Amino acid sequence: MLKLLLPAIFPSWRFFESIGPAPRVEYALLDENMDDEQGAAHDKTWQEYCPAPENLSLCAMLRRLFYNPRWNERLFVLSCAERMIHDPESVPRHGHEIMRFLKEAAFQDAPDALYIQFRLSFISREETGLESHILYESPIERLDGKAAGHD
Amino acid sequence: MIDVTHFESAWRLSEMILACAFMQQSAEHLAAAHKTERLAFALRFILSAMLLIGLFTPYVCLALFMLGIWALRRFNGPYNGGCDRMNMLILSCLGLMHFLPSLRAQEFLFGYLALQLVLSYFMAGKVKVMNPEWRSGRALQDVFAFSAYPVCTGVRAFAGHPRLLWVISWAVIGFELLFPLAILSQTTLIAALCLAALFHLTNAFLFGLNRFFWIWLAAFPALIWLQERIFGS
Repeated sequence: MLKLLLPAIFPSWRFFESIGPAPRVEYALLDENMDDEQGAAHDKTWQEYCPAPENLSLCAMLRRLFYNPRWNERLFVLSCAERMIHDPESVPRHGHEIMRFLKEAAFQDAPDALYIQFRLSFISREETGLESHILYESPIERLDGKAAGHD
Repeated sequence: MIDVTHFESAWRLSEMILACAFMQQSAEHLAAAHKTERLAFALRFILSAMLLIGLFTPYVCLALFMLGIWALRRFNGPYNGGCDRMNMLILSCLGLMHFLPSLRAQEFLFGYLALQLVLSYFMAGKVKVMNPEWRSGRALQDVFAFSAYPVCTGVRAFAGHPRLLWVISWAVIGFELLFPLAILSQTTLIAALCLAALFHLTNAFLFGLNRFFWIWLAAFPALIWLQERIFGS
């Protein structure tokens, strides 16, 4: 508990110290469960979790100043992705957290989907330009037909 | 009109702005969270409203602190990075002040909060000026080009203006490093705090960091009071 609380009481304020690889969370909705070999061979349709829109009006930006739950959820999910990569021991905990939000998104967008899988890609600037690398692929989980945590 | 240079008024104003920031954050969780979270943040919303109107303030602060601990455990750390750290810092200072035995101790803690506000800018500037990527403008270019923050694809277009971003990088670095000097006079401090608010507002508009804007404002009265306390008549 102190490990969580002390940085809040004695902060370091090292904002944007460096711009590291930027995470993206993508998920695929599947009709069947697959083992790793089948999964690797299967052509999945990956979609980004909560992608940013093409454009936002000034009015929309002003509204988001007061109320912006989806964006803040997205930032939290992405922070979980970063924590998973920096601390492999936290993979089960943060992976579960990411999956919870993705199941919610899947329930909203495709309530009939049966299985879900997510992967973490990280975008960085290399010598040849911007490159994306997939650093983690989750196990496939079943969608139970209702949003995770809803009663 | 609230005289923010007066200790009790500044303290109360900080509490009120903090309450508004907490209500804004809690409302967002009411929309998105699961049942346990909805209940917890509904409670946080109600407690924040009580803090806003000044009902049972010491115990409300204590209850909000316990909810803050719960949230840190629930999300395995801060939900929203530096914003949640600032939440707990401000809440801890303002809440603890109610339980301190003397005015001197209360002033000391309020001054600590003001000091942390100054450090939040200065340390951010220090790490930037020591990084060659920030000095060259490349870091800010990367923020727009591929970081997760830009609120829409259109905002990423700023990445195509390296000279503009170099100017903006140095403007931000200069502002952050020089911020501590602003407390030398009330006029410069007010100007600096207006610039700081504009900085947070810009981050809210371009990167969706809305919570940072509201919560950082909650610490401003502490610094205005401290400036008067040290340098005032």
